[in-house]
Amino acid sequence: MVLIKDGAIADDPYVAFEGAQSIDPGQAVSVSLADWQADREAIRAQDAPVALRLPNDAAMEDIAGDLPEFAAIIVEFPTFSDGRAFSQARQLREQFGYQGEIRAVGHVIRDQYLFLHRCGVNAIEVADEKALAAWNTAMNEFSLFYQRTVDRRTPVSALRGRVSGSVS
Amino acid sequence: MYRYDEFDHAFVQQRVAQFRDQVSRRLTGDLGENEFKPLRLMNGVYLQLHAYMLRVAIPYGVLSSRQLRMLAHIARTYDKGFGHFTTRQNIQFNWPQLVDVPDILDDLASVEMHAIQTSGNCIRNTTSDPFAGAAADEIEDPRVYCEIIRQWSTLHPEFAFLPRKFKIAVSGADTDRAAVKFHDIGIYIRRDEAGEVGFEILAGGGLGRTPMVAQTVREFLPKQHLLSYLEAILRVYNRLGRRDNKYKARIKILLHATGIEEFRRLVEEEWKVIKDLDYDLPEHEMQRIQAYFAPPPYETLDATSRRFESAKFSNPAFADWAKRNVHGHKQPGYGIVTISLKPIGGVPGDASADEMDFVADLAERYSLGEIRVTHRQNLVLAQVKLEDLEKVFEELVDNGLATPNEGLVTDIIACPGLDYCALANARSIPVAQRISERLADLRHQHDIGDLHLNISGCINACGHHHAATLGILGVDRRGEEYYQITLGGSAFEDASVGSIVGPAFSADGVVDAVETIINTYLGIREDGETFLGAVRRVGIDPFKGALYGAD
Amino acid sequence: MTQQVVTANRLTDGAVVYFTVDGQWSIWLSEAGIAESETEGEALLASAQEAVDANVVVEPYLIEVRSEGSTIKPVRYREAIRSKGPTTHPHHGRDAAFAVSGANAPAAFQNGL
Repeated sequence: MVLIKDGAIADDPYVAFEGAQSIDPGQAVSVSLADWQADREAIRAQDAPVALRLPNDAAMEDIAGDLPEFAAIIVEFPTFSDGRAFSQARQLREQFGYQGEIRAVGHVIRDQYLFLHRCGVNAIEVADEKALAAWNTAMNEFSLFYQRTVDRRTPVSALRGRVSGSVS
Repeated sequence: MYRYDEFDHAFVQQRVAQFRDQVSRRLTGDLGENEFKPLRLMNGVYLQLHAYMLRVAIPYGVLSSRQLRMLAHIARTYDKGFGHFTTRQNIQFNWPQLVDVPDILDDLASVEMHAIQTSGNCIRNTTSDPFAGAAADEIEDPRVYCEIIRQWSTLHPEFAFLPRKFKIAVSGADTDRAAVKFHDIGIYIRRDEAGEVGFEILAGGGLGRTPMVAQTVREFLPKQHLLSYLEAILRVYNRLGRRDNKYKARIKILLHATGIEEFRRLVEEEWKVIKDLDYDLPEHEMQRIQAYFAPPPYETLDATSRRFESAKFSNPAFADWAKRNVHGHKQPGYGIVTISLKPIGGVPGDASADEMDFVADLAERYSLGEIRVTHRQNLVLAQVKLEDLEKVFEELVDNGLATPNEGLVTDIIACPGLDYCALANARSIPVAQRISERLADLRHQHDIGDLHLNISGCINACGHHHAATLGILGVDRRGEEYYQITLGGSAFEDASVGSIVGPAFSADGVVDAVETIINTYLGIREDGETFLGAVRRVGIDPFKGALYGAD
Repeated sequence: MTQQVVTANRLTDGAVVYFTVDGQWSIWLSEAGIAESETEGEALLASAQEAVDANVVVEPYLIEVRSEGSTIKPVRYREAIRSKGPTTHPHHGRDAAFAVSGANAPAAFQNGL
């Protein structure tokens, strides 16, 4: 798999967590929500970056308190048509002020890239590097938006405010 | 009506360019059908029985003459010379080629139209009262809020892959002409005790396999919070709606499972968090959109027109038409005209390209260049001077569009059914045609009075059969078309779901059954009692008895 | 024995098409290749799959038919309608003298309805 992050190919530092004993100190790990909840203290003791794999039916409130501890949150698309993670990503950014990486994994199609980005996803895991060009194209497919979301692309309503001389 | 500004124009053009690219990727094989399908659906392109179908959005059912002429042009150029107006105030073209669709979308964009989100598991075209802005019983014009919702829901990044499709309707009048209570979210414009205008928000209505009447989530929502409140409902639905079974994926099932109290709590809790997050429209934008729907420059006229009254007296055909197809207007001296697309024996909701051009001209000459589409598949001229009505009528007669049957038994809603639709189990249109022919006699129709007869060709219920006073559902029984009848539904503010009267009828038997039901009503009704009133009073047993005998 | 043919919709225009004996696609059911057994049906469908991969047709599937002399008739009325065009707009169908000829088409809908 290839990681695209912030519009470029990036290294993926996280290895999958398989029990607290098997991790070298300092090794960045990706942890399922269940493992995090079970082994939180042991993982903390490793003093390494943690990426949380968040099931798309998880209640956000369950992890709200721990959010500052995660260097990345991995949201899941079992199929591209299961859009729950769009809401999760947006909630993480807007309601919980999460600043770290939000990565989409699973079955994501190119035509969702812009929507993902608008909801706060800044990294995706893809099959091959060709997706990078598609990602960057998708970021510019539209220049006008009717909603104010995470990405802070200026919505049309605010552009209109400027045109008419008032502030939004 | 609303007009695109530079931003709306540029946006729609970007969308057409995107779809043109998607189509070309599909044709080269870069996109497989599984990936292309949701993308084409989000642009209204279905693959039906015989061909692709393109569903074009008519936002809240409002068209300018220029737009209607473009629809006629598309029907002529890319289709077989006709279009089909739907129960969601849209229009469908039955024969476009996939390779032509980007060009059609270009044509539509040139008249400020598109097909965005007319299908797919996203927020669909917002529907409304076809009399909006003209109705005598209106608190405020609902089109303002429909347009706000249209813009907000367009390519909403969070809600493009919902568990299932999502439909919103808004009404601003006492009479619900938009079937609000059968929508995923229904919105009634209300006044609170202080006289402030806001919204009653309902959710969980819908037809399909499990018909349900929407319930009130919030009695009164101040206007400025409309979008944040919708976001809260949509987010609760996107996160908690079922995705394991498409027949249980609509919001009505979620609301039914949680109960209204818990659903309300979830929504209100979400809303508390987001209401101050800048989701709502700034005041200047609300005002900008509102300004497009300011009342047109009406002439100052007397409330009654001598010409209109004397024409009714001297021209019985005109009087018949005026009695059913003309409605009261808030402006003295004006009326609202329904153009029936239900000629006796015709295809409900179909209009030819020539008819569209004619109606566009007529609207330009007599109704401020504006046309409405109704969810009962008719057209409306909402701004006609009473003194012009006879001339309008005569022109409609000359063009075969003066069927005086609005709200009568031959004003039938019918989905395309198995003649076109890949999902259908049975045909709808031929049943509608035969019932219409059987009950063609106008005096008899007047005697029967208000009766909404709706036909769906499958359980998905695009023909709104559950919401009809007399509903017909086509089913496939061991390889034959059969028709199940329901009685007592209503799509109005007293919304109800019809009850199944008994075993289904064959294609041969269903017309007789409808006639038997109507004759039963005529026999049992009390003075002035409508069909619906009678069914509600006596239940279905007398009808059952007449149809199936005493046992 | 149930006879079957493979049908699909053409990618470019959605037209109903049938898989022919020589591996082509025809808009005429009468030109369809007939599978006389389950095994033949599966084989026919498998070879039709090539046209999906080549982006010629969409979603091919098997339908039951009865061949009588030189004509082929679908068993199910849905497929009878697909093969002929909408019964309510006969002028848009494939056959100007169209009437539903499916084995189970109710009499009430025949001839012009």
